[in-house]
Amino acid sequence: MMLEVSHLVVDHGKLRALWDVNLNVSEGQRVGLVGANGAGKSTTLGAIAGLYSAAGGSIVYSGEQLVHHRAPDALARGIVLVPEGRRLFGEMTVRENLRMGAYSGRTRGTLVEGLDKVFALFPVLRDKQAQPARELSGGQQQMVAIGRALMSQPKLLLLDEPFIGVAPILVDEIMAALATIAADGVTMVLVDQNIGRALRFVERATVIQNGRTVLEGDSATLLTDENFATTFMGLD
Amino acid sequence: MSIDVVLQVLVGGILVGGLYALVAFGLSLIYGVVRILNFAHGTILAVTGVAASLIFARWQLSPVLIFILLVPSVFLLGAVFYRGLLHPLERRSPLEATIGTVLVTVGALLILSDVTAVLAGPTQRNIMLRSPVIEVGNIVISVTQLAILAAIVVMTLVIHAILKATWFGLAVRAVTQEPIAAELCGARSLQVKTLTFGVGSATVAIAAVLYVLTFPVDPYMGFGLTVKAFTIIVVGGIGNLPGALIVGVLLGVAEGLVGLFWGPEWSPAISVILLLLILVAFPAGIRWRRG
Repeated sequence: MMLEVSHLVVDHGKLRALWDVNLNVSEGQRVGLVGANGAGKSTTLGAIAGLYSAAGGSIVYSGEQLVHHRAPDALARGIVLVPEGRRLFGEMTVRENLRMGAYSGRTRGTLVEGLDKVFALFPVLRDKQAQPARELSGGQQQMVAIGRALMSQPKLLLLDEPFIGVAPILVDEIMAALATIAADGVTMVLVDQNIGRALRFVERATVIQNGRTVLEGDSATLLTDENFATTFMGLD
Repeated sequence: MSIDVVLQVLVGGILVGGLYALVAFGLSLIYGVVRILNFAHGTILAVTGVAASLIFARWQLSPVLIFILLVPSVFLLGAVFYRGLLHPLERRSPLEATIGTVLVTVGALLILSDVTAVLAGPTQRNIMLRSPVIEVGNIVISVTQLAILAAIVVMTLVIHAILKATWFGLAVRAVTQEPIAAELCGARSLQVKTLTFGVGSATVAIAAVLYVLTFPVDPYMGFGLTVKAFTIIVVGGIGNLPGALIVGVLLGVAEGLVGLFWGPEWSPAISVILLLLILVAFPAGIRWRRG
């Protein structure tokens, strides 16, 4: 198992955000993390990526337990988060945003190859590379966010709502790019409000509700599960 | 009053304004990354300037050597000041942290000024270099002044290049704009903040050595400078180097002209008056076009 999250508890100040989250991801897999707004999906990804500390439970990655790790520590191990809302460096150019993705010592040497790879995946970014990131459309900004994450050479890519604010036509393009990235052997955890769309992309999914894992299974099984369909598919 | 006098005042205003801009830029660099208003910022110029003039009086070292001696020292002091006294406050609640940083930086301002006054005396000092003068019409410019002007231009270009081309500069801008994303890209915030505090302080030290070559310094001049730096940042924009330079020079020239026409006692007030006028005229801020 590449990633084993067990009984994870996370507090935001005095509020408990996660009570008991379990998530297993094997190497090369695409896993969905689904649930209603406020269920704790972003917090789970953030805890894995080192943005929040666990108040209980454990996160084991490639056999190593991550304790009070910060985002740069996660990054050094190949865990890379594409955060909700993209969080681009708006005043910096597209190229500088991508360059920032290669900031850690591990990836600085392969800056040029990394850029070529991103531009091959999202050709439109090559023409926009000198433009400030804030001037791009939502979909193009998402491409920069994913591209920036790729510059960090992820082994485990965590995607938090990558399709919010993206025009439908670009959703397909980004989806195809993610499939290419996955085919390259990058393991993925995807959070998407649109549960049907998420389940068509991932192989397995974990369902969380009020900070707890309530269901876990193959996406094909979940899609035919009547209980799941009535509880969750109606929500989006 | 002849036009020559006005032009002469303009030259001085541009010079002092360029130095204000360097001071302000150090402050805005620190504020952008660390989100702390360092009230002791201008006092670093006062203390470094006094130190430079003492070193010069005692050993007659060349200003270049004094520069090489003082700038790295102030870099270290700035980094240690942040790491030792300000960083620990970040563990407190937001309100306590804010009040704490004000107390620590204002306290540093008072202590640094007083200790300097006790050690060096409260008098004004500067470094008087004998340098040839160039006369353009009736305006007199010394070679030292020209060298200071050149140094301001070079420093501005160097800072610009550092921010634009180095990994450190990239991280500084990234942390300023989107700290969480910068962390996700592997920029360790404590490391970037400590370095930035050092670099921002070193920027003031650079300005200090240049300042004391033509203008007098004293241990208690720091707070006035900090206020000017705040003005420049608010009008010129956080982290905006060209903006700081334009506003700094405008401020320096305005001070000179106000001093000339109304009397020097009005000079310190002009920065605040300008700030208020601009805030009233442009309540939404001035948007500088980016080059």
